[in-house]
Amino acid sequence: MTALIIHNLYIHGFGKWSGFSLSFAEDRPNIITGKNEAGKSTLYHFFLYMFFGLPPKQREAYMPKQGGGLGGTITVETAEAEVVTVERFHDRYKGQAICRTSLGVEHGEEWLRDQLNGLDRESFEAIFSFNADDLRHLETLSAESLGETLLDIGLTGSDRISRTERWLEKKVEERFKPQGRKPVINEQLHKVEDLYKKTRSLEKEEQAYLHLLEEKQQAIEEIEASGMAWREKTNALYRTEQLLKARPALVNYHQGLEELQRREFIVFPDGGMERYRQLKEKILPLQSEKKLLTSDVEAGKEKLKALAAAYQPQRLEEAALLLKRRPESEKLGYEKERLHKETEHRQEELSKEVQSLDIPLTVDDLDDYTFPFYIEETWRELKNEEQTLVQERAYIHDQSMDLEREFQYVETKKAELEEEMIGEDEAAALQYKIQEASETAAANRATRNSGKAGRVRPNRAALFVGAVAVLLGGAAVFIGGGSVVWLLLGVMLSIGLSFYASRLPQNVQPQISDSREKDVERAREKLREYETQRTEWKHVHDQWKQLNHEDIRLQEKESLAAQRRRRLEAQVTEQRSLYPFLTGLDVKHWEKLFHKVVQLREKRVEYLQAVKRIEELERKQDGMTEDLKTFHRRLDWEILDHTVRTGWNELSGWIKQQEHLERDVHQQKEALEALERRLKKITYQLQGYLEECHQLFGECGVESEQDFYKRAEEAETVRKLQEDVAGYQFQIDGLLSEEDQAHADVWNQVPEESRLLTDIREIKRDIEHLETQQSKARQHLADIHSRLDQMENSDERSALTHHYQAEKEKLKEMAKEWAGYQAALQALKETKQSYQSTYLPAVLAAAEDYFRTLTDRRYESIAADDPGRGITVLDSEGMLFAPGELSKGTRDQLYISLRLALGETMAGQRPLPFFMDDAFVHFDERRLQKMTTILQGVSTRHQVLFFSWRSDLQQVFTDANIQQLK
Amino acid sequence: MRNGITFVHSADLHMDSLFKTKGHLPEELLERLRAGTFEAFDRLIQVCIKEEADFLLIAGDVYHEELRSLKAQVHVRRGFEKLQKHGIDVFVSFGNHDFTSGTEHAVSFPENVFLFESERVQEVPFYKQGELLAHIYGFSYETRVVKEHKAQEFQKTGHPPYHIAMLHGSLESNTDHDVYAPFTLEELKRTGMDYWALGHIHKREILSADPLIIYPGNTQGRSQNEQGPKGCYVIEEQEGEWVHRFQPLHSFVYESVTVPVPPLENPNELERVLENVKHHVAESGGSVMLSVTIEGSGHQWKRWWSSGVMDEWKDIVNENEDVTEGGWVWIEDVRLDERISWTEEDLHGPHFTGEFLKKVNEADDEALDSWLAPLYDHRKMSRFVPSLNEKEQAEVLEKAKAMAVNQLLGSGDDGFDHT
Repeated sequence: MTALIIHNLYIHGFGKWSGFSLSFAEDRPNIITGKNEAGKSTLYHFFLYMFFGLPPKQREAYMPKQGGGLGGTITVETAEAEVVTVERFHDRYKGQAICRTSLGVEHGEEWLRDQLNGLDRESFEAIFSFNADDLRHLETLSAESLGETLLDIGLTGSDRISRTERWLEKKVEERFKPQGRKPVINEQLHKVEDLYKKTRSLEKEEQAYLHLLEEKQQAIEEIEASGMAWREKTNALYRTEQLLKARPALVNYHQGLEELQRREFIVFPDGGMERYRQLKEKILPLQSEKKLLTSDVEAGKEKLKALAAAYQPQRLEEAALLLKRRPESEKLGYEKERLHKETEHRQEELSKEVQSLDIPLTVDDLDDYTFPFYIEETWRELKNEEQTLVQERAYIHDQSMDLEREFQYVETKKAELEEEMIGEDEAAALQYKIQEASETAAANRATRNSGKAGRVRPNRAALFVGAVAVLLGGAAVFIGGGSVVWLLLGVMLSIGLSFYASRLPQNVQPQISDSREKDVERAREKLREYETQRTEWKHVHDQWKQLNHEDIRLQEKESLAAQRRRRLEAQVTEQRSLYPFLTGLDVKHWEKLFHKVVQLREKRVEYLQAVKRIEELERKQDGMTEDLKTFHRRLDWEILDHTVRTGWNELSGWIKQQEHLERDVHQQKEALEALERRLKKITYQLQGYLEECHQLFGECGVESEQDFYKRAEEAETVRKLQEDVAGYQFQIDGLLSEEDQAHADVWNQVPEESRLLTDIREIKRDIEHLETQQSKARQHLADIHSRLDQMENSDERSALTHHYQAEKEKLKEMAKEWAGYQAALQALKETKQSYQSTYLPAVLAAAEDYFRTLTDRRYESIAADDPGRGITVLDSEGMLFAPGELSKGTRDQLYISLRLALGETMAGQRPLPFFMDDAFVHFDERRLQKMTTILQGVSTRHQVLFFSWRSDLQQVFTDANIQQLK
Repeated sequence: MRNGITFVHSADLHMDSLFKTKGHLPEELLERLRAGTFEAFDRLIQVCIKEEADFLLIAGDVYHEELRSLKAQVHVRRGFEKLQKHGIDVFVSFGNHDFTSGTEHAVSFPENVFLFESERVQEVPFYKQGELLAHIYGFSYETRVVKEHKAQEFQKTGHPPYHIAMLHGSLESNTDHDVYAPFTLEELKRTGMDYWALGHIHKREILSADPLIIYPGNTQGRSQNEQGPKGCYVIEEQEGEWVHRFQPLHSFVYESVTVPVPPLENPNELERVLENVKHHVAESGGSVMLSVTIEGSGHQWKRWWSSGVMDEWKDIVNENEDVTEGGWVWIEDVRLDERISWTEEDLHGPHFTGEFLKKVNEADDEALDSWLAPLYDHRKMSRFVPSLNEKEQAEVLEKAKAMAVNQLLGSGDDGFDHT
């Protein structure tokens, strides 16, 4: 046996049951009967409770009436033939089932579920439990709904599949319907389509950007073109308006031109009038000046005549020469006067000086004496000679006195030395003694002594030389005009030096030593002393000799001096005789007197010369005075007895008068000449202008001034006309360009005013039109610009496209979601179909079997071929019946058949017990009999638990475990 | 006088490109996303100015083909004009996303910009202070697809101090992307160029250090497929020394995190979990579009996920995020680790459920296509909604299973545990 078998149960407490137990047969139907309210249904629910448990709330309905815990145990034999006690108590293990095997292994709820094919309570009930009420739906079932109901009942124990299907269908349809508008996807699609269209149109618009760029270029060109046209038209308008403005000038111009053409040809030089006026301006003053000058010349001539009468030029020259001598004459006078005074002064001074000399000499004597050139020298020599003689006499006197003193000294000294000195013999003895001692003494000493002596000698010589030199120097000074003192000093110095020099050698004498030597030494000493004294004596003797010489010389000098005096005195006497005034005057003053006298002599000569000069001057003055007087006489002037000075003054006055006259005449002459020159010039100028005037008349073809004026007037008119015409031309030139002039041919014709006005109107209209056009084009360009700008700055397309994209994505997402539901729905449908096609035939075949048996083969088969129609049954006679057409009992049988078939077919690998409740209410006895057979058959495969209120069943079920509930 | 060279290398700006969004995003966040590529471009311009670059290289895909908006073009032009004021030149080549025969370039660029417009490789001299400094080589895609090997066409000419090449394409060996203008590293190296400025691959990568061959990546991530910092490279050469420096430009990054979560009793606790994740991510400071993957056991995850509870909590957490300020974190997506699946053993017994799961598990593309045909083959829908890719299909089936089983097992239809 591979089915799950319930062996027994024990109800601890469940509803009305407590402490209740039951055992069940394995392979024959277990029938539990009892009247209504006997507890059949509670028992059925106890099984379900044991298998599946109950939510706490639902459990409350089954709490034991007599109290005590809800729960119980059932003993089952599993498909694997294991006996397990399932225990479930309300208050144990949180109401969870505990399954204990015979080996003591415990299992839980899940194990239990596995044993129940994993079914839940609903599925279990749907497959394995059925009751009479289920059959009620049978009548309305179509084949399809039957199939589905069967599927529902058979597969999930409920209508979950169809509910799921319907749920999915709803979900799918909510989202999308191919033809709908409302579902969200359809709506989204619509939205996306809209956005797509919009993006397309924006895209096109952006493509229009290029086109717009071209349009922009066109607009710019258009504006340029119309601008050009506008400028042309404006120019034309201006031209025409200018033409209109110029028109009056043009009219005048042409009129003036005509007038000119009418005029005769008039000869009149350019600026003729002006020329004439200028000529007149020049001629008139010239004419009046000429008249004036002519009278001036006449008057000038008269005046000159009068002046010339008083003028004596030949005498004037003479007088001028004479007058030139006046300063000389006056100078002579002054000179004479001055000299005169000077000579008087000199005379006086001279006599004073002569007197001051106080010598027998007068002024007049000066003229008598001569003083030849040598006299002065002679007198000076005499004076010098006398002086020299005086000095010499004094000198000689001094010398003789000195000599005398020296004689005395030298003689005394000489006497002293002669007395002290040893005799010559004695000296020679001493000398010998020393010589003897010396010869025994070292010869070497001799060499030394000789060296010493040799060295001393030159020294001594040098001193002598110096003495001589000093003496000579002193003599030289004396000779050179120095005093005697120098000579004496020199002599004394030289004597001193010589003396010193003579003493020098005494210092170097050889020495004798020892006692013996003492004698020698003493002898030597004595000898040395002797030699010294001897030298000194010699020297003094020399001096004495020299003094003798000098005395002789002095006596000679004295006699010489006396001689010279005598000569001098002779000469003095001679001079005194020559110049008596010298008598009584010392010779030494002569030289000085000479000078004084010579000076006085010179002054005397000067005086005499001045007197001579005065005389000469008087002579010259007298000559001049005579000339003056002669000139006076020649002019027949009254020679009055007045001074020469007055004569000179008169002469000078006359000369001045004549000179004045001369100037006047000269001036008058020059003025007259100037006037004449001017007159000549004016006459010439006047002549020229008159000729020019004549020529002008000639040019104009007139003779008189009057005609000239008339002609000028005519010429002026023509000129004015021409000027007017030129003015107009100028005006026209100013108003119209050359081009315009040519264009309108203004120099040949005057444009008509009306035509010009018409032209202006037309052009203005054109301009207006162009302006409108241009402003339109500008506006257009601005529009294009703003559109371009808008497009360039527009975010619209981007935003919209992105929006579109997002919505499209959303649509896609929604579609995907829909696809999930749709796939589930379609898969479900297909599963159902395949499920039906797999299992339904088997179910039907099994059901047919049961049904045939139950109906005693009155009905052969059950068909569910046509999905559109309900289940049909075919009777043995081939008649088809819809379930509704069957009797109630047959219908129940059909249901039972189908139900059993379904249960058996779908039971799966673990057949579970069938629970049936009053399924056979409408079965008649015969069919019930058949049913028992069937159930007994089924019981071999599934345990069957049959609950019924019928009490007659025990008679029908021959082989069944029937238990009656009280 | 040669004083090195400094330039900025960028590529794949994809100006104004669209973002793949998940779930409903508030208007402000959409605005932030939309501004992303523009802001990145502005930063690129600033970088050039700040670095005193000699020039800027853009190696293709300036625009995104889907939306070469005038706004984008005008924005780019203004940026270039700014560079012009600073005397910085720009060299632009176009790639597969902005090939030259595509939409017309309505906006013209200032004179400092050189556009490579031909598919033939061209060289352009660059002068600095009147002296030739570099030759820039490049080409543009004339059509969407260029399949030729272009490397051979890059031939050095003349003797400027530098030869710099721009190439929008991918390694021949790269199979992750459509292979355009394929090349091998050997080919590039053989040309003897001093620098290869690559574009096309959005993930930045230094293919070679000598010579430098660099993919700078794109400038702003646009989906979870483009995670992490995005920007450009500042390249400097001084006396033979090439230095490359990555410079982030993004306004926000895409990031994903996986969080292990212990079994939860109540889905309310998801809020805490997500808040924690957000907090953790926010610590980095930048703005983040975040994808969260939950790792954990327990069948309730599946239930909560399939029933949309997780998304609801995600929405609640996002609600408090102020995206107008920087440093926001937006949880874009909460998904389950693939390891969390149905313990289908739980489902043995009721045959129908088992049959159902079997049915779903066995469903092939064809079956799924036929199931989903009403929508995905719908004439209008199909214009906007592309067919599901493999990953999405798997996701759909997983969700279908979860929902149906929940219903069949009677766990209620809202996923909330009401007991």
